Amino acid sequence: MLLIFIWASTSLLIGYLCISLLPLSQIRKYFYFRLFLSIGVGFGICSCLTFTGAVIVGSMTRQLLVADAVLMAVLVVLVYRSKMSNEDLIRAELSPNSVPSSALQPAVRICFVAALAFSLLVFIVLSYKNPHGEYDAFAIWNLRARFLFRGGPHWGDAFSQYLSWSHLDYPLLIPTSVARGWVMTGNDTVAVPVVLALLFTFGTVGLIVSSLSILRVESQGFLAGTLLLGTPSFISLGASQYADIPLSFFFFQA
Amino acid sequence: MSFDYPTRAKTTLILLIGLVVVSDIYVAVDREIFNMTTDPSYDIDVRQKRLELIQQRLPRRGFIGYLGDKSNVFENPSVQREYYIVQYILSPLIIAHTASFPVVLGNFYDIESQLRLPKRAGLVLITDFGNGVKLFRGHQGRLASE
Repeated sequence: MLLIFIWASTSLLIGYLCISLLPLSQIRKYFYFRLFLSIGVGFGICSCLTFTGAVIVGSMTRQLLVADAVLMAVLVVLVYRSKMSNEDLIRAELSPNSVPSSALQPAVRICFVAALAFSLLVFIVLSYKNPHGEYDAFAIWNLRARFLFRGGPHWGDAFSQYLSWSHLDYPLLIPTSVARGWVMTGNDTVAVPVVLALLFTFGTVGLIVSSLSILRVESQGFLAGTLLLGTPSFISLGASQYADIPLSFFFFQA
Repeated sequence: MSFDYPTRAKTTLILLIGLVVVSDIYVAVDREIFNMTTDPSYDIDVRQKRLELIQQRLPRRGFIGYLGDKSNVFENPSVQREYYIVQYILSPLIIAHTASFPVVLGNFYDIESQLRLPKRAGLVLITDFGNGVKLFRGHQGRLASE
């Protein structure tokens, strides 16, 4: 469990540090927005790094994690330096949205928390019942992740013509992220794809709530989040480990 | 009765939240989310146990053929699903969706199919692992590893 936590937090930290380097000083104030944004950025960068490393080294081994550590160290230095030079700019930022808070705000917030708790429960139950995910998960994403992890130096078998039904041209974000988690834990535990699905599912909700809270008012953010959580197929697709949810995350992030 | 902005906002909010609650309850009941008994025919861990013995006999890597309850695995959704699960369990061994291989994995649920289809494909039984899982010797047209 600790190794899964390290795998997820490494990706999130790399994403968070990269976002902190962006010249958009306005978003620097919003911790939660940056945190949710870092899910997509972090896993995206780490999967590219893992794939490039596998091509260079020849297989997915724990040595690849050295690249993560080096990247993180470089990012920490860069963020520290940029923070020093931009401190005045941040101080001169606009004040947060000055729209007065509505009387409905506490009610909306309570509804959001209730919807979030129910959705989390549903996600956990569905993942417990079906830890390998649904059709796409075992026929495409986790299948490819297994080839990348179990294949060792022959990870290229994942792209064999005999597996053309598994859509060989599909992006490798999920398979390499899952394989990277398995490399870190040392076995192909089902917990890794479940945690990845959980992060993208609830990260999408978090991104909607935090961004609307910045652009409009907090209550509108919570209301949008409640509506998304109440969308019937959203949580079940997430727990099924389908790529539709990470895709929706990136659409929204864009 | 005045239908001013705060009243409209409150009404909309109540309707939206009602919609969320109704849709959540509908999904929970319709998909039997809280029914913790899983259908064994959909359980991958059950299949993993079913294929345990043959997995020990097969190489970790390479290519083998496959024959299910239909000669073409893509002909029937449940046969197709079964094939995908077998590939998922046995990876990184590549399971080609054809019986034209020197070694062929037979995975049957239908008794009639397991008698008829191997004969029609000209396969010779090597080992019967029980539960419809069989290993056949097939055509020598292709090598088992590339």
